[in-house]
Amino acid sequence: MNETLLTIKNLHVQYTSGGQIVRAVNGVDIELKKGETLGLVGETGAGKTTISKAILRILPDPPAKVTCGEVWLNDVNLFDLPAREMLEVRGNKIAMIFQDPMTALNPTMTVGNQIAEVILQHNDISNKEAMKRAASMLEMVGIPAMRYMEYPHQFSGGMKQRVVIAMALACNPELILADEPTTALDVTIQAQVLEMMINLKQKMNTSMILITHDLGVVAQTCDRVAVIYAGQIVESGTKEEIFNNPLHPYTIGLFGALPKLNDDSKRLSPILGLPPDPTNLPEGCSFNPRCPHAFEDCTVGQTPEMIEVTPGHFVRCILFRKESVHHGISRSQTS
Amino acid sequence: MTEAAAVKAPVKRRKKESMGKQVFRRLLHNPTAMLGIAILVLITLASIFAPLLAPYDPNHMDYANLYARPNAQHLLGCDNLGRDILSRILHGGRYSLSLGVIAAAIGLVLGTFFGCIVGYAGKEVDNIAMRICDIWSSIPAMLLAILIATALGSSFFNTILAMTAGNIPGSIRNTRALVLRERELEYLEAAKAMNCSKMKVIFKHMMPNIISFKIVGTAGNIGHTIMQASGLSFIGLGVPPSTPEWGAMCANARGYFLDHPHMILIPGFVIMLVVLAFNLFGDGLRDAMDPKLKD
Amino acid sequence: MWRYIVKRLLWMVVIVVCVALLIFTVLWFVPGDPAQIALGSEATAADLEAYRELLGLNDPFLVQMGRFMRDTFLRLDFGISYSFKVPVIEEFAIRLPRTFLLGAFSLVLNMVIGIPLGILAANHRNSVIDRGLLVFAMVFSSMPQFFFALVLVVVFALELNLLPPFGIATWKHWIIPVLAASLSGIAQIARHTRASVLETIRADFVTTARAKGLEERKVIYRHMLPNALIPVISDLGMHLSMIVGGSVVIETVFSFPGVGLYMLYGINARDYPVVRGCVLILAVFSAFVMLVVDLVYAFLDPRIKAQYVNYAAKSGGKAK
Repeated sequence: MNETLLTIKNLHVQYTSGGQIVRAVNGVDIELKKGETLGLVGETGAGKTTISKAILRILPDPPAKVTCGEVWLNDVNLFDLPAREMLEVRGNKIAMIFQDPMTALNPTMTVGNQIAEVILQHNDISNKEAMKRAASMLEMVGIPAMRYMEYPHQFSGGMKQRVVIAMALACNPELILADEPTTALDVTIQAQVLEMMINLKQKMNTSMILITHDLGVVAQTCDRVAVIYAGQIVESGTKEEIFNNPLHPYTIGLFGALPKLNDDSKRLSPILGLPPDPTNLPEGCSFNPRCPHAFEDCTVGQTPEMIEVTPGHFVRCILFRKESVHHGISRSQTS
Repeated sequence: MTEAAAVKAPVKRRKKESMGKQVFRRLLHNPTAMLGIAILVLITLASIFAPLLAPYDPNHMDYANLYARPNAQHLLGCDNLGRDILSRILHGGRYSLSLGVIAAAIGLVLGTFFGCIVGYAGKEVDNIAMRICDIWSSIPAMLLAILIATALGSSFFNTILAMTAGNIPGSIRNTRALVLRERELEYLEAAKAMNCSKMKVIFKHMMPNIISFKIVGTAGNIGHTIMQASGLSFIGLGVPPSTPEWGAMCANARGYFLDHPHMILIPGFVIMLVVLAFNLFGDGLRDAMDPKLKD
Repeated sequence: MWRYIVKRLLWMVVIVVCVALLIFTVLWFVPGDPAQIALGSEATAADLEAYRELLGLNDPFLVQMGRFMRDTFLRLDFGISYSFKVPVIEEFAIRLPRTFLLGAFSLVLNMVIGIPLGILAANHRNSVIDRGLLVFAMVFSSMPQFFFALVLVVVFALELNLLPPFGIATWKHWIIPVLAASLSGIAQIARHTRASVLETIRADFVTTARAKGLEERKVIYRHMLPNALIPVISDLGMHLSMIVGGSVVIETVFSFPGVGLYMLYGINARDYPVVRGCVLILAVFSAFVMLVVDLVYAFLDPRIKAQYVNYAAKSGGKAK
């Protein structure tokens, strides 16, 4: 259980668009243990999807480019693998669940065959056998096998996402990258799909990186949480640590933007301002223009280092530097 | 929270531009579109000021220079009646351009009008109208034009009619598709909820959103119409050959093609240039409206 | 699927009948007296009147229309040409295969050249090949057909002396007309294919296919192309329509003795039966090929196919 499955070291990704360089991911380090679920939380455009596509090396190049970094799966650096061997990782060892089930399935291919295709690709079995397994995958995600020959447009959104999940799980991957798997679904369907994912994941003892901006989903599914802002992880720790004792002003802001039942306040407190322009990130801490606690030191030099505040709980904020702990803020002060 | 707000650096606002300005800016940065616009502006100006620019009267017959190849006196040569081709091209621009613009404009107006009504009126009207469009467009546009030109006789105005007839069903269908897409959007629900009349919803709220897409399509359509009209003239059913219209000039030159190819190649090339310019401009507009489509 | 085909065939019958009515009505308004044309300028007023009576030209509009519809559809009789004095259908027997071949060759060329060129350009986006092809496509889709046809004649027949310029005596005579009839279509299809491929390349399901670990070859041929080509195929009907319309121009340029040229004779001679027959036969021809294209399209796009095929029956249960 404590074996490390995936290690990402210092990942940088940038997009070139119309002569401008968009720095989408700026030095992300992630460690994931076997069987663990990591929640990657952040606003739209924070670089979450880019990270997952970078792991699978399916970023469109150009315009995207991994400028620096390593991704270790067990003891193999995926970035060093020849393209041929990378094919065997995709869909087989690492599978991805995409955000929008409406567009993630090929409209001209039956759902069954889309699942059978990935099975056939990674297993040395006959067509017939693959189709049989695909049918049982459909059953597993709660779709009657007789719908094997139907096309995606004959399925509802939730059903499509089940197909996508079946496709991802078809080869028993060691790691699932779930990119906002429930965002495009109705709330009631969201819960169903999420529950199913958790069950299947536990059954197969798969690790998962769950990308989301929905803290409710995180609370329901994750073991650990990494909060990402402007292409950097700004806080990471166990779910309990992050939820009970958020440290980074951005994380606190995220919780402040959630409606609470047991709170008297009439208004939500949103995070002011907009996510930074990734072609022109602010100096110092990327969050400083929006941070209620920002002071001069925050606006100069490099982005702050990660600081381990309590064991396993990291935060990227100079308020928590050893010498300035007295600046420390706690949730009670701000909310 | 108050002190925190005081510390907070002013939040930089993202620049917001109107749609029109954005489109225009993107268009300016598109070299091929600008080339198209430049050609169009040049040719339009040349046509408007044709009487000032043309070295000769376009109908003046210089019997000493029948079939003259391009030379110093007649920069683009003369035709079978000794008329100066450059002058005829300059004057012809007035006919050819206005023919394309008028026919495309009629198609745009009628197509948008009926398309909006059809798209908004409900299932029965929509069904019937679409079936009519199916029948209408099952006759190839060129055949329809030939048929109409035959029935009405060849003249400048009839050529416009003949060209328009082929344009309309496509335009109706295209508008309808836009309307159906637009209908799904919530601002129309809002307009209806405010108790706007149907006509008001269609023409005040929906039309402005559709019209920009339609106009973009029209730029390419003008070029296409000019090209088709020249084909019609070429087979002797369009603008009568005495008119200095480009297609008619080609038609007139048909019989002398083997011995005097310049008579047909020059106006043919001008037609191509104009159509090309309209296409470049149209594509540029489309890319500027929807930057996603471009790389 | 059969239901769809039958439905489309029935609909085509409706279209053809309506087109026939339309053609008859429009040509009703054509000025000029067929009797005068048929009998020449020396004919007496009595002769003319007798001839009109013989052809039923004095009958009311609806009677004439009824007769036209009956003759055309029930007896397959397009009438006798006033000026050539030969049944129109006999001319069709000779001329229609030529026009049909010209159109068919062009349509095939449109596809087999246009689509691969478009894919090639998209795969080498922004390279020299891509830009070259784009310029080519832009120029050729802006060229009036007769202009391009004449340029071909000048270059290949007159200057290089490789191919004969006019007529249809040998297969070599066909090369320039077919090229001239297809080039703008090739250019447009190439452009359309390129745009469609570039749009599909970014589609999520292509990323899904990559994420499955499929080789790039499979991603392209199994997932990307079938979807990218659907809109291109659905537009082939429009291209065919352009080819048929353009065939009149092409046949004029090359003195190609097909239906288009026959129609022009008919128009110039005010020969109604010829004109009516030609327009009708060309319209039917294009409607028929469009039907075929639509069927192919429906077969390719499951969203359309599914409306007519009962999958439930296939998979043994009730589908949604």
